[in-house]
Amino acid sequence: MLCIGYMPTIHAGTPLTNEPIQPIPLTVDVDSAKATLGRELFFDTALSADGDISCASCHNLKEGGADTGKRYSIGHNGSEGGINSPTVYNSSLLFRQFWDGRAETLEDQADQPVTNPVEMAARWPDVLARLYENPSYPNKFQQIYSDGITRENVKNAIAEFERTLLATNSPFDQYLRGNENALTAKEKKGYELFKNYGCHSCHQGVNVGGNMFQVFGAINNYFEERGNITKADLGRFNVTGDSADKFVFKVPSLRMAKYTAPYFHDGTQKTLLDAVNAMFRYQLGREAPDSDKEAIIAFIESLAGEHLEMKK
Amino acid sequence: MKKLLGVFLLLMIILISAILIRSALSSAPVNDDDDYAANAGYIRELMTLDAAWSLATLKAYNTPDSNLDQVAGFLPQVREARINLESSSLTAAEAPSVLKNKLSRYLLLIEGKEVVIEHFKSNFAVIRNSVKYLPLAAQALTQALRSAENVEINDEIVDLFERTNSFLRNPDEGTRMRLLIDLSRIHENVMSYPPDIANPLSNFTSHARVLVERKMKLDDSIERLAEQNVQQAGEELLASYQNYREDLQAKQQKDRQLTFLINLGLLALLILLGVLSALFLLVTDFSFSKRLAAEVAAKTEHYEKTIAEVSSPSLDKNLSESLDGMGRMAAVLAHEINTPLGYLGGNLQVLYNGMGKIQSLMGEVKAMLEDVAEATDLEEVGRRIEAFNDVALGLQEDAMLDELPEIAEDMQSGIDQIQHIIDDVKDFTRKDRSSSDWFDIRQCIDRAVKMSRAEIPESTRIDSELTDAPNIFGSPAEINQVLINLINNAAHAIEDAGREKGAIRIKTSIEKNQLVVSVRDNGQGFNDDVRRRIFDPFFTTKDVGKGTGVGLAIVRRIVANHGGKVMVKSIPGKGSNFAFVLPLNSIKNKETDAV
Repeated sequence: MLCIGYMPTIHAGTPLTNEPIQPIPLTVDVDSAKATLGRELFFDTALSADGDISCASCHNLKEGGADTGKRYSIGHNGSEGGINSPTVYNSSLLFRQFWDGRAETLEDQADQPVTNPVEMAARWPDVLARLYENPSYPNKFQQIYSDGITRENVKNAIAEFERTLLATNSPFDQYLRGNENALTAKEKKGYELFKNYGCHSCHQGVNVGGNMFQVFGAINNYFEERGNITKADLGRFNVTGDSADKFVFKVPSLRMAKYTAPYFHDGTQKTLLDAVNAMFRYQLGREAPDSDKEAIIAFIESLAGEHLEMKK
Repeated sequence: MKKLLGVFLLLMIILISAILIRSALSSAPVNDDDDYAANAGYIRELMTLDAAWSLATLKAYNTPDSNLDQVAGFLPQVREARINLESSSLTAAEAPSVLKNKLSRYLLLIEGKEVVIEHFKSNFAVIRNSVKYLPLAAQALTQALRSAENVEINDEIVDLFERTNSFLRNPDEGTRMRLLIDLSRIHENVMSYPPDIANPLSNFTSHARVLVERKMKLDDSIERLAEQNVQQAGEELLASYQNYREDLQAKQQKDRQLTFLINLGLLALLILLGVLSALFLLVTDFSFSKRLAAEVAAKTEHYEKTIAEVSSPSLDKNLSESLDGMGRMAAVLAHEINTPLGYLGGNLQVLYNGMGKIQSLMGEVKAMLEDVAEATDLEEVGRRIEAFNDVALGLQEDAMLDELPEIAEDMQSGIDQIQHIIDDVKDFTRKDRSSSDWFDIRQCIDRAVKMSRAEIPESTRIDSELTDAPNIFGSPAEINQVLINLINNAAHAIEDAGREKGAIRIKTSIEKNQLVVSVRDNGQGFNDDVRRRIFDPFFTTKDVGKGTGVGLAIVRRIVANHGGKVMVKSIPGKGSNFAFVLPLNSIKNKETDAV
C-alpha cells in the first residue's frame, strides 16, 4: 500500500455516501519499485524513434497530465495527431483507455503510442535495444522482473507508475468526505445544478466520467453542425465496426478539466464555458442561464485534486 | 550354489524395479486433480461474476441517481477470469473438441454480454435524462405557444406528449414508427417558427425522438440481461467438463485395476523368489530377508490402500459443486425469502411444541369429563381435576398461550414479506403493465390508499365508504394510477390550504348502471377559471418543479379509455370533489373484446 498525494484534511462532518460522485481513494496498492522504474520510463525519450519524445511530452504532469493548450499533440517529425491528448491523472480509474476505449488496461494503452507513426513512431525491438544500452536499466529491470527488459515489463512498469497518478483531496472530495466548508456557495450550487440538469447521468462515479460510452450528439447532431468528419470522429465504431457505435466515445472524466483545455476528442472547445455550452446543446438538448453555467464551471474546477508530480 | 543365488537376486532386483516402475507409471497420469479443480474453479468464477454483473446492472436500473462505477467495476474481474480460462488446459490441443467448442461458445456469450451492458449503460443514461426533461420541455413549449397565441400545433404537441408517455409504458414497433414519423415531420419544420417557439419545439421533439428511438433498445438489453442463456452456457460447459472428467477417471480406474493385478502377480513371484533365496541364504544373510519382508509389508500396505481407494471412489464432490452454478439470481431470491421463512419456521416449531401440551390438556379434560359423568368416587374426580389443573397451569406458565397472537402476527408478517418479494418480482417481470382484466374496485382503492399513504402527512385522514360493486373490466394498474393521482392532488390541496386536520374521503356508489368513484378533500379548492382548465396538460397551480400538470390529464385520458368520464366540483377555501364514472353496462362489450 502506497500513500499518494496529500493526507486528507481531518474533519468532523459526516461523509456524503449516497452521491452519484464518490471521492478518489487516498491510497493505492502498487509495487513502488515498479512505479519508480515506470516513472523513469515515462520521462524517457528512448521510447521514441528519434529519441525526442517521451510519454511526458504529451502528458505534462505539471499541468494536469494532458497536452495543455494544444488541440492535437505533436509527435514524430512534427506530425500532428488526430485526437486530443487526455490526462493521465486518475486514468487507472477509467473503465477503458483511449477515447474509443480500445485498450482494456493501462498496459495495453502504454503499448500503442510507442509504435503509432504520428506519436513516438518507434519499433519495440529498437526501444528494447536502447533500453539495454542504458547503464542502469538492465540492472533495475533485473531486480524487479526475472526476465529483464521486455516489452511486457516496460508496459507494466509504466502502467504501475500511472496507477500512482491519483489526484486526490480536491475541494469537492473534501466536501464529500464531510468538510462542508471545502466548497464555496457557488460551487455547491454548481453541483446541485450539475445534478438537476442531468450532467451526472454520464459524468458520474469516482472519476466524474470514464465509466461508460456515450454517443456524442445524444440529442442534437454535433458532427453535422461541426462538419468535416474525420476517422477519429467515428469513435468506438473504429473498434467494433458496429454502426450503433458511430460517434460513440468514452465519457471523459471531468476530474482535471480545470487544467486540460482545450476540450473534447477534437479539441475544438477552447474554454470550459465553450465545452459546457456545447454539452447543453448537443448532449442535454436544453438551455440554461449563464449564471447556472458559471456555477457548474466553478463546481467542475473544484473536482481537480492534487498530486506531488504537479509540484515537482 | 552361489551362481543360483546370484540369478535369484538378479531376478528379484528386476522384479522390484518392475513393480516400482509400474506403480510410478500408473499413478502419474491420474494426478490431474489440481488441474481439474483449477479449471472448474475458473468456470465457476466467471459464472458467479456473470450473475453478479447482471444483478448489479439491473439494480442500477432500479436505483434512482445510481452511478455505474460498480457495473463498470466488473470489467477487470471478468477480463481476468476470461484470460484464466483462455490460457487454461481446457484450450490445450489435447482437450476434447466438444469441451473446446462449449468453452469458446461461453466466452463468446460473455463477450456479447459486455456489449449488451455497454449499450444498456449508454441508453439508460440518456433515457433517464430525457424522461425527466420531456415534461419540462413540453411545459415550456406549450407556454411559448400560448403566449404566441399559437393553438394550431398545441393540440398536436399535447397528443405527441401523451403518445410518447404511453409508448414508454407500452413500447411497440408500430407506435414507435408512427411517433418517429410525426416527430420528424414537426422537427423538419422547426425553422419556420420564430425563435421563441423554434427553440422549445426543437428541444421537445429532440427529446421525444431520443426516447422513442432508445426505449426499445434499452428494454431489449434488459431483457437480454435477464435471459439465462449465458448462465446456461456456463452450466453446460461445467457439466460436460465433469462428464469428460468422469469418463477419464473411469478409464484410469480400469487401468489402475489392471496394473494392480499385474503388480500382484509380480509380487507373488517376488515373494516366492524371496523365500527361495532365504532358503539358500538361511544363516549367512538373515538381515537381508528381514529387510525384504519389511519392504514387502510396506508394499502390501500401499496396495491395500490403493484397493481401498479404488473400491470406494471418494464421492464426487464436484457433483455438489455443479449445483451452485444454477441461477445465482434464484439464489439471491432464495436468500430474500429465506429470512421470513426462517421465522415462519421458528414460530411453527413453537406452535408445534405447544400443541403437545394442548393435546395432553385435551386428554385430561376428556378423562375428567368421563370420570365426572360416572362420578362414583368423588376422590377420583378430585384427583382428576387436580391433574387437569396441573396440566393447565403448566400450559399457563409456559406463556405459550399469551404469545399466540404475537406468534400469529409474526407469521403473518413473514408471509406478507414473501408476498411483497413475489410482487416485486412480478412487477419487474410484467411486461405489459396496463393489461386488462376483471378487478374489484375496492381492492384497487385499498391499494391506492396504501401506496399514497406513504407520502401524505399523518394529520390527514383518508377514509373510504365503499359500496358493493360488481367487478370491472379494465386495467387495474391504470385505474390505480388514476386513484393515486387524485389522492395526491387532494393531499396537495390540503397542504396548500395549511389545514391542521386534513380529510380525504373516497366513496363509491352505483348510479344508473354506472360506478361512481369520488375523492373529496377539504383542501383549498379552486374557482371556475381554474376548473375549466384543470384537465389541460401542463396546466398546474403548483410551484415549478412540484408538478408537471399532466396528472389530471392522465386521469382524464385513462378514464376516457375505460369509457367513462371525470367530473369535478369545488368551492374555493372549502375543498374539492373529483369523481369519475365507469359504465357498468359496457362490461359485456368489453368481455367479448377480451375473448
